[in-house]
Amino acid sequence: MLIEQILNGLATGSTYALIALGLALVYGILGILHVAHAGVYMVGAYIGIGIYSLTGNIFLAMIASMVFCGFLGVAIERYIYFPLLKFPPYVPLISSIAIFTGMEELIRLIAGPTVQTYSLTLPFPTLKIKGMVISSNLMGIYIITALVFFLLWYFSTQTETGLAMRATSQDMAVASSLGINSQRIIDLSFFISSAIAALAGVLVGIYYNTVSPGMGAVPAYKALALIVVGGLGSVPGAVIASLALGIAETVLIGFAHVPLPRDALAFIAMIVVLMWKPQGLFGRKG
Amino acid sequence: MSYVITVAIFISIYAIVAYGLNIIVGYAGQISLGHAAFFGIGAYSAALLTTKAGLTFWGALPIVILISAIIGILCGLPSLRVKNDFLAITTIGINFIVEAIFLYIPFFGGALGLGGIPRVVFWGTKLKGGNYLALCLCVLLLVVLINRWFAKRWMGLACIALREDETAASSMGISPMRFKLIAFVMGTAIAGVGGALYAHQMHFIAPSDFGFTVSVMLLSFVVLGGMGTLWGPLLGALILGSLPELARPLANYRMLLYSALLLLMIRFQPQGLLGKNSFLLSIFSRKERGNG
Amino acid sequence: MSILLSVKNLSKNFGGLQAVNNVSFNLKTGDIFGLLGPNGAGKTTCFNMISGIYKPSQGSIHFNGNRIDGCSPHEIAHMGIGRTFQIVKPFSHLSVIENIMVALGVKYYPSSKAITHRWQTSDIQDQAMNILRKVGLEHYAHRLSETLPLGDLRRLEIGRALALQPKLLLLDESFSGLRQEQITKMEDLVFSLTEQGVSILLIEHNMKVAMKLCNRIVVLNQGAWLAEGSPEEITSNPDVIEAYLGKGGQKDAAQHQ
Repeated sequence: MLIEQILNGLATGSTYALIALGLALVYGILGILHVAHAGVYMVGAYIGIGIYSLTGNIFLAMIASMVFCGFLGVAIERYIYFPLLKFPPYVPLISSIAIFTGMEELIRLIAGPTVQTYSLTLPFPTLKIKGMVISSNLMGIYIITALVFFLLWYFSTQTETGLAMRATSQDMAVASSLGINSQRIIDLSFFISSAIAALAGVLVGIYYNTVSPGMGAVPAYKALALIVVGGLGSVPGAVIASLALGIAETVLIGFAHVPLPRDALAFIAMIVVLMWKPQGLFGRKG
Repeated sequence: MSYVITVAIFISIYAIVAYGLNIIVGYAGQISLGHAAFFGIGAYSAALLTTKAGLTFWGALPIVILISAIIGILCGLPSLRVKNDFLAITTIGINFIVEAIFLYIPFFGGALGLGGIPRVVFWGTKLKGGNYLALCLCVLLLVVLINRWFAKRWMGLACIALREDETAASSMGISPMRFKLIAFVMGTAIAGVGGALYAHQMHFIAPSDFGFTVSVMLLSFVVLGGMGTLWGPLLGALILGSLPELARPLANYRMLLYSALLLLMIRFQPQGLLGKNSFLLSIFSRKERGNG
Repeated sequence: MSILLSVKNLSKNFGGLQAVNNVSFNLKTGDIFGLLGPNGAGKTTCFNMISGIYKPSQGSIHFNGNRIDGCSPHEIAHMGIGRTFQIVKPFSHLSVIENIMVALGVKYYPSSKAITHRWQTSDIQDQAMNILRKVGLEHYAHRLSETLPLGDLRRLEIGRALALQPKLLLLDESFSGLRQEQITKMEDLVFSLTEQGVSILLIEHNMKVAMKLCNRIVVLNQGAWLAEGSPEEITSNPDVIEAYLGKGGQKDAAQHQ
């Protein structure tokens, strides 16, 4: 039973990780708290379901959703965030919240306020180990997110563009002076983050069988707590914090029935971590 | 007509709470995205004191202020040690945690909230409608005067200096922690008073009345009006507060319009309507721009 | 004359980087004391330790007989040490005179008077104008400080520090980026400050200025103490010349003297 809960928690954590790592990426590059990221996640879920119901091909739906949302993210960055960078940080933050709310409203108006269902099973094998059944969808989440983590790791550590991205997030001025086109890198970071968020939306939609306009609300703020715990701007930190939180939420609350509100756990964990290590678990100083 | 009065009451209550935020964000320069939590703490304390403890509104008020201030200190002490983005996220966390406490601890009535909050009695009359609006406006005026009084004391100047440059300010004898805390506590106490007024207007409160979206709304009132100005929060509350009501005919499109307007405003006038170099001010005054 | 500031075995490391390594010197009342050295020598780090922004990793700092290392910047301001910053930090949205008035509040901030007393009194205004006159900025009193050019901002910073009525003034590259006539005015200002009883510790890259102003100099190199003495002793010290100009620079130095 406990193992099953841990596995469920790992799945939840993986979807958190996909969202949080994008947020960490954006923060690392532009120093912005991109709350609207959760809006992109939600839009991704809807586009996925739309294309799936049109074509019947879930992988096509995933790719299409990722591409569309990638461009959506870049548009947000170019037309809203970039002009606001010279202002104090609460200005882009408020704009991000406004965009997020707008996206929720738009989807609510277009697709209706009620919950919609994705009813499908991913074409992955079902695993039976020691009396436990790991469903196809669960396997799908594990395999797909592991693939994404691997590709991202490979890209950022083994390719030149990945190196350029890491350099730019450390110090944009220095990176530019070394010939790195910072505008392209910023665009790329937003594209990747948003595409991965869209993927998370589709996966969550499949796993829980539902999408709703409000599905981004809780992840929006949870992801903020997660990137703080991981260390603002640290992608590996965000991933680890997310996986840990997913497991903690499921085990502590679902299994051990600790009387804490599930969604507040992330923030409680964040405040505890901040007390002990003010820059987060893997944070950079300053 | 009574509809207009009700809207006016809400705008004035939100303006009161926004003035508290103005001291924290506008004068002391500390970003707070959890101010609605203290609005809620004031509302719940007032509601519990007048329903379960049987106090009058007036008897409960000093206790509400005390509770809001004390919890403000408790939240401020750890939070104000961190800056900017960390502080923003920490205050969001405080908002979520406080809301969760109201939601999950049965004493506070859970998701259904608290009801049966009595009317405020003043000199034998139960205040409602226009009379209640008068009460709110008096409190609003008082809060505006408090803002003005604050800005003219050394503590106000200290907070402004901290906002401008914390390192330089501290090398001039200003203790950052001390003055940030003073500003924070004044802000939360004022929010608590707003909460008490809110509870006694609604007669019924629920945790969702004090969620993160309310904090964002309050911050946008202060930012739109002009942070750290005397009339900014009121102007912001008037414009952004009456908008959802004016846009009621648009029914379903209301919130969309609201977020679009918020986006446009922050994109093109981030310093606020009464802030530096704003469009409004440049029409009404000739600014002396000296140059070397 | 008595020792005002005593720095003993001062060290600071940041993670793996040793910024300051075992530096000691004494400043006497009335000195204009120079803290010199090539870039990266650790001079500003020393300043930041003296003014309380950093806590030393090792060593001690005594001011007026009291130990001050580890105190916070606002406490050190109360004790009578004022400072300027290498990159100027004016309170941008306040006027020039308001910048000064912030510093005049130093007596009020720790007490409950901060809550009860007003700051826009005519008395405070007069005091602020006096200070502006001392630094030559009285005609700009009501200008927004962010509109001022660099030379005036440097004087504004000195004015702010003076408003604390300090016994010791730390000047961090206050001559940096100034034109020649501004430099001369600034030199006169510094001399007049000593006449008024303020002791000065200054960091400076401009050698001519440092030699003219200082009666005593300590030179740091890569965080460590290199030499100490009068300006003449320093300029003829071969280690100092080498630190600044590299080996073989002694001939160049001799030609320039």
